[in-house]
Amino acid sequence: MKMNFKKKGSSNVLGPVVIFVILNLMFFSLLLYFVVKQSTGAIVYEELYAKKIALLVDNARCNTEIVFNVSDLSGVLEKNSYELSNVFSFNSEKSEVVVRVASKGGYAYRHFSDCELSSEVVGNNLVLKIGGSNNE
Amino acid sequence: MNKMNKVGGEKILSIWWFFVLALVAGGIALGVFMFFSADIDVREVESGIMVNRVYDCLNNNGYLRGDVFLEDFDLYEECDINIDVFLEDGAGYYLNVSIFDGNINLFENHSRSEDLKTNCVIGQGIKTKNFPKCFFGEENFLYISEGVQKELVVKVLAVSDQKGRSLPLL
Repeated sequence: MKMNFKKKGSSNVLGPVVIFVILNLMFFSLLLYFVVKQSTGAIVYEELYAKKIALLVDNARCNTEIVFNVSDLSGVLEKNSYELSNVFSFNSEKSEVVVRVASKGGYAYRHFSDCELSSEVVGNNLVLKIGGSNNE
Repeated sequence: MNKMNKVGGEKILSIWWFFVLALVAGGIALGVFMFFSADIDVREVESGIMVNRVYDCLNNNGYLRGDVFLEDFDLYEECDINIDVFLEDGAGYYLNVSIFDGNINLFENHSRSEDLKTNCVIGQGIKTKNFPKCFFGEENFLYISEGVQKELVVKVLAVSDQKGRSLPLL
């Protein structure tokens, strides 16, 4: 009877402490992840390029090709071990330009152009192919 | 002894501790955001591009294109603009195109979100960051109707209130 009492007491103390430590670890690792992610400039690059491409697309006529240099992404991509060819994508359903410089996360910005979009990476350049209208 | 430990455990997990953690996180996040984030607000530029796109497609060597007053003229289709992003619920875009011959309104086409237009007008009156941004254009176009050349005024108002979205990390 005495032993049972002791056992119950220790588990009562250990439970909250373990939860407390786990929650703290989760909290600080999330915080660290956020600070590291911010400091690599990944979020800024993603937003910058998504908006830049969306504006280019909106400003261009259909059946146009635009080539622009994206070599300033190489540092961030190297840090995140991510391929340049996977960075840019287009969500035609939502009319979004999606930019990802890491396997998770990313930034999406909408465009109002109705031209078909695709892209290709050649060296350090992105070839933005603005195709024919979706209405045709 | 057991009672003491129990009280200690409850103390550690008290709501105040999480409040402190939230304060610390909020402080750090705010500091990091202020340091690293750049203010990239392109809504006004976007509205300007929309206005230019409309003018570009209505223009035919300085003359207003001939089919603009036809019944089946679809502004969005002719200008390669995706109509869906203007007509959906909670649309982030608004477009209003009107053509005047003096005071007579010959043509009017506007999208759904009238509240964007209203908010944009309010936003121009007071200094605010989160109101939609708009661009207003007024251009004169020549138009030949039944052998008579007229000068028509084409007014275009474009509003953008889209801010983009961050994709989830998980």
